[in-house]
Amino acid sequence: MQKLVQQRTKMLETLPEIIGPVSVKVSDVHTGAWRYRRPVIRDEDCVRCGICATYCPCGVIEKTDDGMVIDYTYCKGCGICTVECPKKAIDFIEESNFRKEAE
Amino acid sequence: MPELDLLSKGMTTCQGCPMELIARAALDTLGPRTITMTPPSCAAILTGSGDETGWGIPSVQTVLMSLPAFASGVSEALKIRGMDDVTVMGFAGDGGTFDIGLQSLSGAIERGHKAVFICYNNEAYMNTGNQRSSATTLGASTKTTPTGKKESAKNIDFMLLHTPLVYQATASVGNIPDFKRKLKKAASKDGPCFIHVLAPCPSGWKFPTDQTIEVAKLAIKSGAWLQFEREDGKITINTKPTDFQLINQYLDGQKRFGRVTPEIRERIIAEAKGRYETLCRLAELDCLV
Amino acid sequence: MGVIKALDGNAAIAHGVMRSKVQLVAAYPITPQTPIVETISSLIDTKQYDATYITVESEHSALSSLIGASSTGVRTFTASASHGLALMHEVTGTAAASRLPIVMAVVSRAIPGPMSLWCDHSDIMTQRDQGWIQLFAASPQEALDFVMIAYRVSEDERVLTPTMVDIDGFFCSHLTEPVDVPTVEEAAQFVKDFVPVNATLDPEVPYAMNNLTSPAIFTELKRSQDIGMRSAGKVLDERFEEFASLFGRKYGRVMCHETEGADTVVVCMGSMSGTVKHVVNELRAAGKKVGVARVATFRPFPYKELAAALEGVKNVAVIDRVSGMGSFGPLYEEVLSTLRSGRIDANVYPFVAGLGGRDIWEQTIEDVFSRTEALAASGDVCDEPIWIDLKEDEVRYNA
Repeated sequence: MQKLVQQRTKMLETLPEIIGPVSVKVSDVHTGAWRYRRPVIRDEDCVRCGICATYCPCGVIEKTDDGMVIDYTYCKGCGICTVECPKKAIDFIEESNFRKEAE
Repeated sequence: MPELDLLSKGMTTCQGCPMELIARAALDTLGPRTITMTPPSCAAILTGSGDETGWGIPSVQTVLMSLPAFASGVSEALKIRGMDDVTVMGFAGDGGTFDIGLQSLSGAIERGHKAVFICYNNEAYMNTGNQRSSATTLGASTKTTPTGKKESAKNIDFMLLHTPLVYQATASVGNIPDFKRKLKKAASKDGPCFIHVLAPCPSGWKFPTDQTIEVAKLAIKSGAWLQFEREDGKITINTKPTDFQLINQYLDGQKRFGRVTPEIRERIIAEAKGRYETLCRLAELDCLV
Repeated sequence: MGVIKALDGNAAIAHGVMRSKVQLVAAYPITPQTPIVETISSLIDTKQYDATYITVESEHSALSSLIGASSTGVRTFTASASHGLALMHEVTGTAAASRLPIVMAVVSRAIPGPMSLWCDHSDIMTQRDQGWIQLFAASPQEALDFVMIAYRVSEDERVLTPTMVDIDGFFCSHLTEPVDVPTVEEAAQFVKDFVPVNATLDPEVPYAMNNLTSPAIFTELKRSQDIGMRSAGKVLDERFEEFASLFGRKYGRVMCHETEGADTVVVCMGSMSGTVKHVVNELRAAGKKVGVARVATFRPFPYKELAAALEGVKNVAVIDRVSGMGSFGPLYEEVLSTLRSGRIDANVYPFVAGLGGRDIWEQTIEDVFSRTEALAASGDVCDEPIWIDLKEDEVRYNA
């Protein structure tokens, strides 16, 4: 996502001036702030099948060498991944718990 | 060049939005050489606002009435410019497809332009806050049918059976691999294709946001939604409904059906059965050109 | 120079389209514009003209598909009239705001109702504020020439605004005259191959077009559009000049006949101007100091040019071919603005004539001149338009 934002920002500098209602910049709303519950993958139970990523509407789950990673900057906390996970390896935890932790 | 996302992750669609999932899966399948068109609808959230857009591919926000005509022009202009490898993707809701956009769609299909028209069907005018459309299921409460819709939904799939689509399919967010397979097939065709995707909307249908996929799966299982495709004059049914009585469970899981009477319930089930029986008979034919 | 052909207004427009190397045409048949559609589509179908024709299912889709095609970087054309133009209304705004150099022929026909097939300007006037350049041709020759000029103006980077070329339904569209048609080579000196100067749909540069526009920038986009439209005035003058040097036919945004030293001048648009000219010649021969100023570019409106033409004139009679219901005709209102902003102290009188295909005869124009003189002599002012060709005894109302 950040690559896209950067690429477009760079592109914007090189493009000729456009006349009319034309957009180039990428929408980058940090929708993670909407979340009141946070999906947390229990790595030990995760089989990396990728179904959570397939069904995540926001595309914030990525398969990496270190397992499935959720981008909490954008995760809205809809909970679809927690329901669809065939191993039930994703916990859905109240955001307030993390805030307490941070404090 | 690093691989880029083709759709932003930071957009203001609702939590659990099936439309965004469909768009994401579509771009995942079609890749960057795609031009998309969206009407003012929930999909306009992807198009963005002001100097920002959610799309990582070229896009045009059309008017609600004529997305398929916009697509016709783009498709023909791409031919003129020799850009034959670019896919034109129309991305409209049920309002832009079943209702105000139907004439334009029928024209574009009949003229045979190369384009894929995706309809994400959330069964109401959701972007304006949930008013009934002709795709709304019988009995569903919306802001314009608070006591429940009195009429059956328009069956766009059956209507389009006798149009010269080179490929026609229904799909569901309940089965993304199936949707991707169908879209890939559509993109390979040299003519108009239509994919109708069920998009259960948590905000409008009133179910918890984590249930989007489950509701879609239950729709398939119960026969409330039929999964099939038409190609070369032949219908293929992809999934056989398990038990039409599951429709009761399907209705109970959505608060929009809170006012459905036992009679309406019976009608909904009977209509679903009837649709499936019709489809089975149509599937025996091979003359649907 | 060129080849002389007997063409009516519609055929002249079709020739103008071909000579402008239009790449994509989408149009829907409607009387009295249909022959344009038939001619162009037949030529494409029989491979006499290399372009794409989209046989759309409505006018709304015609212009919608042009917006798509023009956004993808090809030169486009459509034609319509009356109901068709009304149906297009939604997308004429989109085309203009998207800064697409689309050219459309409008073959003016009364807008309903009552249902009519015949000419007046009520259709194109609904588009007055949609942001299109509006050229009013008075003859088949002008129609052809204006189409070619329209592409040069619309595509100019200072303008980037679509153009409507208007001809009067039947009076011009179905009137056959000798028309000097430029050869392909001659035309190519004036209209070159299309090279888009603004953003186009291309996977290499993923623009999002016609996006939702917030109050923070809407006004600025509208003002940019307005500046583009205003620049079209200067660009039109340049192109008229260039066109004259190549083809010998000289046009202006205001075309005057006998306005020099005139006491009374008729201001009008479209095909009626020929009749007005004829009457002016007769009245001049009879010693009357009369003239006619024809407005050829209604948008952008040529305030300065018209003011210059009306300098020193005592009486101005404006003939609108549209009723201006409950108010005055749009041309009259523009002329009032012209006189006021040009500090010209002349009497000005509003006339309505020629609605729904009613012929504007010599007698109609003579009546306009005599009525104007009478009003000027009496010092009366008009608080509503004078329906000069009205059959009073057939007007029904309860009052």
